[in-house]
Amino acid sequence: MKEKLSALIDGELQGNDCQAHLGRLRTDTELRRAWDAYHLIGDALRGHVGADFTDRVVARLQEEPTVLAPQRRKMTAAKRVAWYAMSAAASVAAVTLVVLTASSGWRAEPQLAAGPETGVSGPVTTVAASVSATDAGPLLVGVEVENYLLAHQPYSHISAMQGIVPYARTVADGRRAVRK
Amino acid sequence: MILPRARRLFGPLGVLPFLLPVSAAIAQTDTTALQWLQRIYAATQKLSYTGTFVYQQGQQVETSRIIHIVEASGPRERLETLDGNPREIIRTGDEVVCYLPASTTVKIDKQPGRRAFPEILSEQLKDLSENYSIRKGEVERVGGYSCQVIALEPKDRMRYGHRLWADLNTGMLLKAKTFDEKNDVLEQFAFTQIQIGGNIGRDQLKSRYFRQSRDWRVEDSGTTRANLAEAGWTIRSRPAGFRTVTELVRTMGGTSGVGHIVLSDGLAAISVFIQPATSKQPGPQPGLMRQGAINVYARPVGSYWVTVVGEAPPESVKYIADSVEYRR
Repeated sequence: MKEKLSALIDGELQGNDCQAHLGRLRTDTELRRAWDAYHLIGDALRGHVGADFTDRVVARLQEEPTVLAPQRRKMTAAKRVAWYAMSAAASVAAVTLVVLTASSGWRAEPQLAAGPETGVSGPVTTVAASVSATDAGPLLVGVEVENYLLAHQPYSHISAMQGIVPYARTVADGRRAVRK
Repeated sequence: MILPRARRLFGPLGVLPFLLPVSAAIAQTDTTALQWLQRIYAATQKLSYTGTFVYQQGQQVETSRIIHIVEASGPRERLETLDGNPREIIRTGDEVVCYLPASTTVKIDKQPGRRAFPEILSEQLKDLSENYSIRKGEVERVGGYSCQVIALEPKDRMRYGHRLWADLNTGMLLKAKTFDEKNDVLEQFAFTQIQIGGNIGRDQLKSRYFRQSRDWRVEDSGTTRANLAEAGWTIRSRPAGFRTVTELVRTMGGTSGVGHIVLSDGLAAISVFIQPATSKQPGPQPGLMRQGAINVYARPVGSYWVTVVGEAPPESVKYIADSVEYRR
């Protein structure tokens, strides 16, 4: 569904396909939220989101009631972040600037068959301030993976096209491998 | 799926078969698209620019600043992160220096025997067009620039698909997305602001940690070329299209004598690291890990750890890791 949505936004759906999807968009609130989110992400990437947007998000998040429900002890950082994020997303309607500085970039995959994960369904919203570094889960191999990445990066031909740009991967902050 | 969508997107192609000496195996590839790839490669070698870009993978977005200045000896670059922990990477020729203020560490890496750009280009484009269908897309705007879209669709599931946005005037790559087999975006790089050409001060290439890093810990990879096959290491079998590009020995994270074999399909590279298991250094985490388009798979082989890292699907990375053998 989300893939269709992005095709629609990119103007790649035509005729009946396009009509059907627009109809669904009118009735499905979750889909509409995703639509708003995708546009916001697009705007953010193009640099159209002003500073006041982030301020508004922070303000709204501060108004959120503190959740006192006990957390499962073995909750991983990834799940925790997603959980915070979704509680925020549920009430802040059209929000979605993704600023996950303390998230876990590295995921340990439980098994190969699972394939690349599709991530949390729906737009994920959080601001850096809402997730402190101490919330991150067990740090297992961050430094080591970084060594491998730095050593590997120069040999990527994609690097030959982009110069030093792909090194942003190796300096991506808060890389933590999390056991699921 | 990527195919039908791409077809709908790009429509009938204007094929100009005489423009490039490419083999008939590349019938699915639009030669003008290949020329665009050449332009993109050339742009990084010839253009000076400075700008801000975002790297997005999954739910994570990070902003970095880049300065790229082309001098007579080749490009010199500096990249610094603007979000999270401050970090800085400076590349001069074949040397990469990484400043990590949080751990007061400087990492130095050299690529021995790096071949000159024009030399590898034709070889690379040939490999690339054998493993991907390359097509020209539409013209779209990125960061205020009109860009030509180029789609690279993998011919099998052992590699990822890519979509590139290159500035119509200069060929500069302004946006790149990597897709998995379900056509989901794994990661993307996109400039939000860029100045191409013009006056870019060379002082901007200087590390902001140059002074204070004098008493930081220095980790030099001391990389040299090596013949790992001679030492007994072989890759029994590999996914179609991936061939060995180079074999090296380096020091990594305090462990010396780490073997490094690089495979490439013309676009994606996969590194195989062979590291002696020592008591003082814990081995890598066994199993599969992922960040954006990069997959990492580690497994023990005798008294060694084999770790495979590459911008390729988990299947490819695991396949190669499982094929690494030691024979004496």
